[in-house]
Amino acid sequence: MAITFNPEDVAFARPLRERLRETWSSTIGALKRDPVLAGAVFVMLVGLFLVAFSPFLTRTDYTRPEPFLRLLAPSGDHWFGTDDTGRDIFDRVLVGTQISFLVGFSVTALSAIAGTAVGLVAGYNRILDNIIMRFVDALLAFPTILLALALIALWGPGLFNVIIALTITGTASKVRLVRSQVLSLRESTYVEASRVAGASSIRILVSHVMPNTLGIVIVLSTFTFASSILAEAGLSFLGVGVPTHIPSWGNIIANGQRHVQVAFWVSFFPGVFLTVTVLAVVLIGDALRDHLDPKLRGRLESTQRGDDE
Amino acid sequence: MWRYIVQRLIITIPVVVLVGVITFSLLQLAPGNPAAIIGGDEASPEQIAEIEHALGLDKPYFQQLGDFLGRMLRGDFGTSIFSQRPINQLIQPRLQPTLSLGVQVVILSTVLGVGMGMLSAWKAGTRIDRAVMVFAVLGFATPGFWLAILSIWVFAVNLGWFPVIGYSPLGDGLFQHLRSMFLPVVVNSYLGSALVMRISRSAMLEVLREDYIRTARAKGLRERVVFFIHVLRPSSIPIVTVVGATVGALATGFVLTETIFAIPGLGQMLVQAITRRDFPIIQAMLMVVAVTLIFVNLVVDIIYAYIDPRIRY
Amino acid sequence: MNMLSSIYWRRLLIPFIVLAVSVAMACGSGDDEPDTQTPSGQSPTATPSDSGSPSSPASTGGTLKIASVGSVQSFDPLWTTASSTGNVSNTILEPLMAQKRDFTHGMVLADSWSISSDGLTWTWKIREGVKFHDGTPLTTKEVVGTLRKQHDRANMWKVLVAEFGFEDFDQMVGIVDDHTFEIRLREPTGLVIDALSNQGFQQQIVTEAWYSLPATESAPGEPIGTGPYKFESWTPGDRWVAVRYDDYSPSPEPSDDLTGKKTAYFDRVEWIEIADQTTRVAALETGEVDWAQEFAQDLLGRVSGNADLKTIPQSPFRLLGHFNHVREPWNDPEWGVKLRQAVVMAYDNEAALQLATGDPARWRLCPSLLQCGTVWESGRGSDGLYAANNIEAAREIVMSSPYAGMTLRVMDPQDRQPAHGAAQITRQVLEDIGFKVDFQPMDWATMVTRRADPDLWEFFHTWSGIGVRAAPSGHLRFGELTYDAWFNNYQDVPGRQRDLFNQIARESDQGRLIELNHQMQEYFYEDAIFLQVGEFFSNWASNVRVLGDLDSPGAGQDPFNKWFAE
Repeated sequence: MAITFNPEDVAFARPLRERLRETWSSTIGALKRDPVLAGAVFVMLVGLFLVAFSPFLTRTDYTRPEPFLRLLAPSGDHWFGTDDTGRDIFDRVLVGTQISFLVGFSVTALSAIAGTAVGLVAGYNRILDNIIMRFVDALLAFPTILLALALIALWGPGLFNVIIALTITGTASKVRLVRSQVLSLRESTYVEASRVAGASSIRILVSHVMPNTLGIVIVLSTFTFASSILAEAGLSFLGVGVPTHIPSWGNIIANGQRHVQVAFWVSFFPGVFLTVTVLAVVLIGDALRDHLDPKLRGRLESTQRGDDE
Repeated sequence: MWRYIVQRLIITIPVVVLVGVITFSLLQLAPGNPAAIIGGDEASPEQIAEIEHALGLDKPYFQQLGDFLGRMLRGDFGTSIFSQRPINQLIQPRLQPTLSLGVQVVILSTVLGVGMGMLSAWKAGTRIDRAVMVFAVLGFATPGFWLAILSIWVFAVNLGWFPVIGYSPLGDGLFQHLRSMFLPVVVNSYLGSALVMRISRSAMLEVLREDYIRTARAKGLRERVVFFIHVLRPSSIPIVTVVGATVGALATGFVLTETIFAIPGLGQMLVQAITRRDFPIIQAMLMVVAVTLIFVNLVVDIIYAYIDPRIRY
Repeated sequence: MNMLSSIYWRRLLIPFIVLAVSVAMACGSGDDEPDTQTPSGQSPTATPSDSGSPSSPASTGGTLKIASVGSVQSFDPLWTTASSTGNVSNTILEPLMAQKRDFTHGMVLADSWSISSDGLTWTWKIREGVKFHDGTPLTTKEVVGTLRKQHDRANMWKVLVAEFGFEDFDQMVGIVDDHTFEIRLREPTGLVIDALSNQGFQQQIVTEAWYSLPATESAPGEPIGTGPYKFESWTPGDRWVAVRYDDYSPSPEPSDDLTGKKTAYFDRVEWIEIADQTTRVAALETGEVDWAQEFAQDLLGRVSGNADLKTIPQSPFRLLGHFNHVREPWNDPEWGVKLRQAVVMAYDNEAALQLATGDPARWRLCPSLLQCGTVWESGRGSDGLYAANNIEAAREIVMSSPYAGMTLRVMDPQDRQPAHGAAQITRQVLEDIGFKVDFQPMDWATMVTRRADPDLWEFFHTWSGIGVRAAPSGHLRFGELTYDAWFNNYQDVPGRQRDLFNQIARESDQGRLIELNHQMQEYFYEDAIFLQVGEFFSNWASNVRVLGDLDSPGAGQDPFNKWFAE
């Protein structure tokens, strides 16, 4: 997912703890003001709950084929119906949350860490910068799903391979962003000041530059989270994600695709869960971005007021 | 301007070469023996060794890499393991569906995205604005393959407005062709336009906020005049970038869409090649898509520089 | 069933009969329908309907569109047994002989044959005036050239060479003149006809461009044959197209399944690849195609409820699971057999058949290698193994073996419901008894290519048609009863099985054949050579306006001898 983000907008330099505290209180405030955002956060909390407890909520063995129960319409016994192997879709959709969130969090965390590290190095070392950035450019030339597909064709399908493949492309985009942030921070007065004061490059990087890239990395991470959930579903849909008996929203949708004319419910329900989850993440990401970029929010508000006059 | 274009081209060359190296290295690491697959149901080990030799699979890595890059330069993608045909020959009939889909989607999603974005910025803060933004955010969050399946279910299966199976080539007549492409074009355009909508809106809001617009308004110029003359041109820069980026997103979308709608294009070929571990085709597709995107970005950069001369320096 | 068995019996008598009588027609059955041959065929008990020969007024013209299952990867019938290739073979290419409705053999490109008094030399005449689609006249040069390649590659030839013929091709086959050739043997046998006759499709006669290629290369370019339709175009992944061949020279014999006179009524035939069964049926409903191959029971209601559509009767298929006999754990000298038996005894055959078809009326349990309900049905040795559902005992075996917890790669062809359904049960069963499973989804065409590399898999499912199950000679022909990865090298078959093969190939007494078949069956379960799942029926359907020979076992799926209603 392409994110347009202007790093200059987020350049500020204050202690991390202060900013975190401020973030927390303003988050609560934002949730109170904005019911849609509150809904999005609620969706994520429900998702986290399902990640932890969905295996205990199921009423069927959601991986075992039940050939005599195949393609049953939604009913009291099977709230979302059954798939073409006779497995309960409600249970599978609930448990499928685990895969989506696992992929989302793993890819986000891994690519944030790797992307920040590599981006910092690239931004601080001109020689490495050239090599790294050409490589990043080359990686970013491949659309995410295409590169992931190729890597998985190579390594074979499976969750771990999906995560690694998505992390590689997720990292590339973060490297680019962090690097440009570092480049602009390097010239800032206070980094200049620390340098004059005799601080080492590493120290400057870790204690001054890195904290200031955090904001944009967090915002970009929400989009990584959303796009990796979508990408995992797409890959599972194409049959290269988790094995088909392990429920993933993508492979449940794929299962239903083959029967869309007689059993639309198979594809329908996991798709709703997927959409709502991604929507929630995107909304939270938007809110974070507005929050971390008061300048932009201020502008939007002033324009809106101007129009309302 | 020319200096800038040449400069950009020079930066592009190592990227393209790196893309080639990455693409090639994929096959080197591939498990399974393509020679055994080529040999068919009843090939003996000696026959398999013969095929390996014929394919050059027994040569050292760098020699094979050199051969590969050389072939790519000449536009020779090699031979499919699965169908035993030259890949150039396989690609050729698949260009039309994908290009047709691509052109239609880029046009429609740009028109839709910029149009809605403009409307939304113009009516910022109103209900129309909010409706457009909800529409855009949904387009962002909805998985394309799911939307495609739902659209088949609603419009093809239940309403019967469109054919269920894919594709009528242009040769069947323009109307037939457009009709068979309608659902995939609309689904992809909607998803593609979501980002364009958001960016168009914020780009225009940014311009609307500029002092010279306030001045223009204050001078009493008609809203429409202000909008089209003073807002559209400056705000087109980020929009061009985003339309460029959308092409990349579409490449992803096509892989899924062509599979679902049974459109015999490049995306479908890639998906088949992946389930078949047909690495030469995967390599060819990666090269084609990556190089295309690199050049789209190059063109975007050049247009960008053309619109805003400051970029060049 | 009497008819069938007596036919079989007579064929095995040929070496003896020929001494006295010049046989006008060889009889036989047991031809193999390779597993991937697209399903077709009719129960041998059914009487041929008169729609088989176009005696009712037939109209010429139109384009027949077929929604086909598999993806074409090669048109070379000697390279693969994939169904997509088979579709071409029977339409564009022709064999010397082929199968009739009653499972006897009839002429196609062959004109006649005679056998020397010692039964060791068969002299064949081919029809004159036949031309390939490129204008080349058909002579014994092309025929023998094709046979030379088959000698090394086709399964029945391997049997013939090893048991009755000569390793050296020129010693075995020779050209007499442009339209006469000879086949020479060490020992008399009627299997010569099986080797020349087409029921699968390896026996098709091709031009020099194809037969002169090394055996490892699948022939490139378009297929050139002598059939009623000629190749026109191929869009890989989309469709391939054939058009009527105006210079076609039909056999003078009456039309009977794949033999005798064939007529191309359609101007043009298009095979449109539609991997998704629901889409195939939908395309049939909307009239976008006239014919849909193979779909699951869930969709049958939509066809039977539609006055414009009709179902096409199908004979039962055997659903089976194949062990990779050259890899662990199946090849372990001590544990291989025990573990294979463990899989057989643990298997939930009913669940697999139900998932494969979607309807209890479309499958039946059948422990027999040869078709259930025939004189050859046998369950000997299957007690406690077939459909035993004995997970505990099987798990005990696996857990006590050194292979407990081993990961097995199971190929899952998602676009072919019978194999896809069974594979899902297999995954569950293998996990239940103590293996780990690497479940590999793919399409059928991929599975067909990947099984050629024994390093890529441990287990897969496929099915086979009536051809290999109609009589004991079917055992000889097909690669199911082998210890190879996939596809038999006849020479590799070990002692007891080879001994049974040899006895079957030479036996002519039906009673003794039945006993030999029982022994084969017993041996099959003792060694658990493959996993017998059961029998099922496949669904095909067409538009009601498609008339003609829709239901004959071999040609029912081919576009000749069929036409559109006015």
